[in-house]
Amino acid sequence: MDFALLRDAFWGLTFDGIALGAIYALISLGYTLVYGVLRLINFAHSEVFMIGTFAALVTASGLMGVKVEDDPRTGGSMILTLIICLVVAMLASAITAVLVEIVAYRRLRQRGATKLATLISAIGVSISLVELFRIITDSLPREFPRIMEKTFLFSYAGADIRNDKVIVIIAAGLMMFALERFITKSRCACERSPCNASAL
Amino acid sequence: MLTPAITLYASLSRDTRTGKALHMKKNRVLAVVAAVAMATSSFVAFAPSASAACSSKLKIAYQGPLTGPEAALGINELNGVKFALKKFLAANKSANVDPVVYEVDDQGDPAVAGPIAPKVAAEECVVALVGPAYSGASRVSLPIYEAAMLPIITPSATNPTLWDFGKTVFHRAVLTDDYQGPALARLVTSRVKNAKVFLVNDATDYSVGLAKTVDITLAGRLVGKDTTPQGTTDFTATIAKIKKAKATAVIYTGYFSQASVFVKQLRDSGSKAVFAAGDGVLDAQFVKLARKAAEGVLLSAPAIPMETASPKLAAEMVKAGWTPGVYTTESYDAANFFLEAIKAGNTTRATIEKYVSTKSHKGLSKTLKFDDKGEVSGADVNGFTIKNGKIVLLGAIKA
Repeated sequence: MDFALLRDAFWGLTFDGIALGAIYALISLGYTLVYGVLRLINFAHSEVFMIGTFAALVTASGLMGVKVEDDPRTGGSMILTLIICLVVAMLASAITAVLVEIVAYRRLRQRGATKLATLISAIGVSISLVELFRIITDSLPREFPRIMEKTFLFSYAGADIRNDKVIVIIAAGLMMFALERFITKSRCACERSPCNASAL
Repeated sequence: MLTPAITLYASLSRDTRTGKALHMKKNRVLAVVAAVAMATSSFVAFAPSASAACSSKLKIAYQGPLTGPEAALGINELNGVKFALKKFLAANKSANVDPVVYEVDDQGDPAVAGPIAPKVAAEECVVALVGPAYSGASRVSLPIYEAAMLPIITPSATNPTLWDFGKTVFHRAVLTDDYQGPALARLVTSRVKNAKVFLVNDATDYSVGLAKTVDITLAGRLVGKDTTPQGTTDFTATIAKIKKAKATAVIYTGYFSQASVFVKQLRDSGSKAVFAAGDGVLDAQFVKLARKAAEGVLLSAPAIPMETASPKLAAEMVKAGWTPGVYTTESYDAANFFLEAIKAGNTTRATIEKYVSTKSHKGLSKTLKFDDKGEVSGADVNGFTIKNGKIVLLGAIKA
């Protein structure tokens, strides 16, 4: 093991790790939420995020007119673009998730199909969505225009703290808090299942 | 060999007297038996006769990944073949060649290529094949194509040992990895003074193989190594190591989609180390994706981009709706060599094979003239850099 690296880069890697971990945590929340309520491992979960990301991309480059060759936006225009992209991405993901449930899971669940059947249906949806987007995008990566400039805010014990990562950590914390409140306080979340909020 | 299995299935699954389908359950069992029989027959007993006459139009096949995570490269190559075929048919209207490329999607995966290859070999109108794109898939397909006498020219499988697997039908339109790795190392050391190189691979066969030859050539100039498996989205840990090693150059032996993410994150971290990579990154898409971060990147390739080889043809391709990428030029050349053979009056696999192994073809990338092991001779590994958003040819990398 490279102890010298560990010593020198410890805080930097820790900070970056927390930022990355915050994103993973948000994604896994979705997994556990679906599993907690439906007892189903939703294999199409990542595709829901993919569609959300594409929605944000289309919104940023189309609706908001952020071009890839432009300099990142600043001030009010940047905040507005970020918020609109965020809302559109959330809507697109939500609609996709509902559609997937209606198309691939609902009937199976109503007829009391085995878990395996639902699982295979989930894998099928996952493959279909991925291949659909491969066709749409010609299987070529798309680049996301940079809406916000990444800048170093300050340096702490050798760790360079960057604005985008700070935002990720704060946003993830806020969203987790909001979800927790929603599940414990709202009747809607509990009525759908024998209050599986504890499963979270 | 597939037909008898189907007939067997059809006759078994019907009651011989009434002609009605037998009981479902039994039927299902028979279906399984028949499926197994078909699968085994295509594995073991394929015997597509090389002499079988094709009664309709001759077909050019392309084999490579057309779906799955590797599809971008396969589509680049398929576009080159399609474009060559389109141009050929526009110039030779009466040619007896199918205007549609026979597409073989092996996903770049030997496990997928294995069962597909016999079907391709059994198509009697497929007289030539451009591909397979990947070395692993080539290794399993080649013995089958050799048995069926189907001539192939691979535009991108660069593993040096491939000839052993299909001696009589194998041809390769590019140099092997044995040439590219040392050339990439030399490109970096010749352009970065006292280079301190950090070497990163993506754990794929191609990447590890290329990194190995780079490593040997760099010798004392190497200050660190790391692996970032394909699909990595966060390169922070590797970048921390690069900074720690005070590297002045980073050589990445993976593919362009990852490279663009890597180089962006490297620049975002404030590092100014020169970024260099092999043919997997030589793609107009890389420049498009990495933008400013792509400036000054050094690339090596036994291949040449369509935009550099012929800006006119590249523009024509884009107009036709096909984006040229890595190995599009080599695929275009390979397809043209086969089409030239057909134009010269060769209509069977055997005669086309003889034509491509004895004659030469002046292509866009190089003159294709295969030696007795199916390799091109006298080709160069080229160096490239990115300047003002364009891939610029630096010329052949000197030994």
